[in-house]
Amino acid sequence: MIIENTLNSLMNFIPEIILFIMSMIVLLAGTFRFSTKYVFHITLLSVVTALLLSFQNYAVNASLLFNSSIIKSNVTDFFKYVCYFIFLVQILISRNYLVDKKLASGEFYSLLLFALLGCFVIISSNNLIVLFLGIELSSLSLYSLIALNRSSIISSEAAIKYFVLSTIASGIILFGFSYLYGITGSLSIEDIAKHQNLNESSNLYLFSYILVFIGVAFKFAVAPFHMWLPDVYEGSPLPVTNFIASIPKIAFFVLAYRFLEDNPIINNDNFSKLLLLLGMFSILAGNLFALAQKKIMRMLAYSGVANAGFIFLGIFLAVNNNFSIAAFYVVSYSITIVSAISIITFMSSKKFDLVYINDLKGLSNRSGYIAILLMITLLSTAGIPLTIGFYAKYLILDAMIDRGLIIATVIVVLMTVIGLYYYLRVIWFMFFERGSNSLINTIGKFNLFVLSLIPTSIILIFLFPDYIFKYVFEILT
Amino acid sequence: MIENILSLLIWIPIISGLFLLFFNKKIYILNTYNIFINFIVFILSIFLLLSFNESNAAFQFVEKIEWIPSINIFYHLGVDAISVLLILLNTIIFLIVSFYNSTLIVKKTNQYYASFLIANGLTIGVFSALDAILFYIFFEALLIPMFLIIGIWGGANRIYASIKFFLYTFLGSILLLVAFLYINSSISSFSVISFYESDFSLIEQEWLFIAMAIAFAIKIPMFPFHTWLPDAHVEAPTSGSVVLAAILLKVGAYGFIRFVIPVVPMGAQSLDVFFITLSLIAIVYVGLVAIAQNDMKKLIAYSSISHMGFVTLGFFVIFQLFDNTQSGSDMIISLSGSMYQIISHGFVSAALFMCVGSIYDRYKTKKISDLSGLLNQMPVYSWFFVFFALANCGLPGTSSFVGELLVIMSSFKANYIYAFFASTTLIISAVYSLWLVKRVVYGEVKITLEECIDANLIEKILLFVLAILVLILGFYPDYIMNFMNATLENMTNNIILKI
Repeated sequence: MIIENTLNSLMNFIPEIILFIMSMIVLLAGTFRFSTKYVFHITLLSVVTALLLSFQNYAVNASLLFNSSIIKSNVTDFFKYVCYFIFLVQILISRNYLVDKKLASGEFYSLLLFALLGCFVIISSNNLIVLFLGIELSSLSLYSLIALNRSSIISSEAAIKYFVLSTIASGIILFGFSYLYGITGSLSIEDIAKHQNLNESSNLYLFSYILVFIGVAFKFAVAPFHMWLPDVYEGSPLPVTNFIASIPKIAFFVLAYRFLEDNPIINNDNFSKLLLLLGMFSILAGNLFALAQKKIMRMLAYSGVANAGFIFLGIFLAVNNNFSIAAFYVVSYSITIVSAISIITFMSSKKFDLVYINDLKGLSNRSGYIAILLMITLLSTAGIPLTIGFYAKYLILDAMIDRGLIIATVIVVLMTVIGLYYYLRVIWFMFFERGSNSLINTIGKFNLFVLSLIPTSIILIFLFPDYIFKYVFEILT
Repeated sequence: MIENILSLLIWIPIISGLFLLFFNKKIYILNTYNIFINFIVFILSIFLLLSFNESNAAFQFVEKIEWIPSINIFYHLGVDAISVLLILLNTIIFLIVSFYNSTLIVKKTNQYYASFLIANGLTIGVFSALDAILFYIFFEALLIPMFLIIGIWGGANRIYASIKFFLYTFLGSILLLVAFLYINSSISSFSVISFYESDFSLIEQEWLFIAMAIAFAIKIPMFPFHTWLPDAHVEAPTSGSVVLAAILLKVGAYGFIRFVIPVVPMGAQSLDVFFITLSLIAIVYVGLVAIAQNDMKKLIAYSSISHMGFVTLGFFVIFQLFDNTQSGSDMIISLSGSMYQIISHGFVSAALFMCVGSIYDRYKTKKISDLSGLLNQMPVYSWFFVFFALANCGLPGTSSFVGELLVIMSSFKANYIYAFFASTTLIISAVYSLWLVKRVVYGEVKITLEECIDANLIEKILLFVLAILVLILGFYPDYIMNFMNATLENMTNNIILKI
């Protein structure tokens, strides 16, 4: 019986196991100085294999694996598919950049795979210990990935900042976990969520939840826990930024979902007010700070802060277990930001780093196609119709008005207008200004194809959103 | 085909415009293609006009398909008489612009034409959407081609103008979205028809009115939200200015008559004096501002704002008319006066901007102080310029006269003070129009061009067609009045029931 259970668990967890084994192999290959071309192909192959295997394992019903420490359901599968898709785009686009910057190595790819694996563990964990292992696995890999470019000072600075602050956040999360274990006597998140609030312990329960969510807010870079984000975005190599901006956000969203699902605490006045205030403050701070930025990655970082605020609003609005709004926002924002950073990665080359927004001046004359792709992406981040970002913002505003938060809605809406300005600034630099940017690299048919995947899907999903909506609404309500 | 005529009208130009983005061929092929598509759309809109049953006040050619059932959004199209007239205005102006564009030399020609084609389709979408979110999407998406037209092909200060245009309009329209969402949250439908049947308390109506009215007041534009328009006009290329003045301003007016007044009449009624005052300020003050301009495009832009003041005046006096007379017939006259002003201003301002654009092409200046004695060098042009300047100041026999007369008449019945201020426009618009003509067309020749070309054949034909349209509308307003009558009657009945 035990063996059967274990076998079944292993069978269902095989994509992650393959990722683990392959990241070891990639590490070994790196140590033995294999050509980076092979390393890259092995990485690609392992991710594709894992993706295909997880397609095969797709199940509508939730099942608990490994003594119910791991959960596998259509929710986890859905988010994992999104992560796989994003990850594939990222490593395909970043290949030339890494070779140019002499960063491509076995360590890089194996650490990236470990970080992905850590995020998958976060997504599928149902146990506090496993969850913490996942958080640490992804964070540790990311610390070293940020510092990978050893010759760069800002890289090291970013790594130190991220390391110190992220460790503190992990500590806070762990502190919250310990209280939760003390109150409920169980490590299973499901049991914790279903724990009926006893009067004498309910404040402590609330306190530990707040601790956990401060950790989550840190990982999302919700203001005022956002200070690390601009430096990390700027300092780390672009492919790593691309990873940090997207996949951990999805993973931590699933963590938040797992903690709040079927849990009456979301209706608790103090707790939901905390989420609302964090979200509103983040939208305010992110948009206002982004206005002043001259460097494109810092601008995207602050826009990320604003968008993280929207995600928190989405979580705040998830009453009656309706997490679909927040989930849609997370997915839409992640694929959009990946598209933006991928385009920037693609344009940087051996001789040239795309750092300042000014560098984009006159891009449309040199490469109109790339300029259009970047425009679609930025319009989607701003939430203009004809892009998926419109629905994301639309659903949030709709739910806020349903809750009767008219004033908050108007503030959010005005902030969106301010936010639009800095996206438009990039667009006008690209299309309306003249500039010499002969160093920008825009060659590579296959890369162009990969880059246009996300903008195309942004527009296609806008035109025919119903399948996605139905699917997301079905699995997350 | 007849059932899907609205979809065809919307999607033919949009899809052919998108196709044009990836299709950079010789210039004459592009010209032929562009004119051909616009012509097809024009023929379709004529077809729409002829098969429209004007005695029926309900929405016709309705298409209702489930688009996003999970959040209750439909692909819901339909037209009444107001929409049909505006669609026709739209297709005529875009056809004229496509001919006019073929006389120009612009960079990135295919993208330029594509922007106009896409704007054409999106505007028809705005005029025919019956689902509020669909309307909002078209309304917002329309910003993108106009933003690019001003920003890429505009004048020296184009970036400032295009950003101001985009942000200003976006600010208004996102408040509109909030209002729509609020309405939806209480009646759980986005259909315009169920918006008309909604029943909100006074305080709700006031807030909804403010949110929606700001959106459309920015678009029309009303004083004090008008400052984006002169900048946008001055910097936009000529065809962009024509579209901006003739079509985009009408989108704002359409929003008032489609959404604001019928949906929240009580809110509009309680704030009508405020909006009438703003309209009068637009008519008088902005008219005076127009006199002082030295840039021809700016002058016409300010005169546009002043003329659109008449439109909003006609919309907002209806409540006082109803208080005074307790009957709907005066309200219909006032509304149809406003509608007439919308259509007439579409043709007159388009023609004026084309004249100014052609002068700019030849003399490379828009400054009035640089120009003089045009008559000696470009007689045919000067003739048309004088004609449209006269039409702009509402000379009897031209189309502007009808609209202004009806609105002034209605405001007299509401309150003679309104009529007093409104009728000062007859002086003010004459001052700026005729003084413009005096300084530019007559007098000594200041700049002698080596070889000054008078209007070429296409320009002559286009201006002639516009002049004929202005005259027909001026001498024979009955057709359009009767055409709109049933729709406006139905609308006023609804408003009366709700207030």
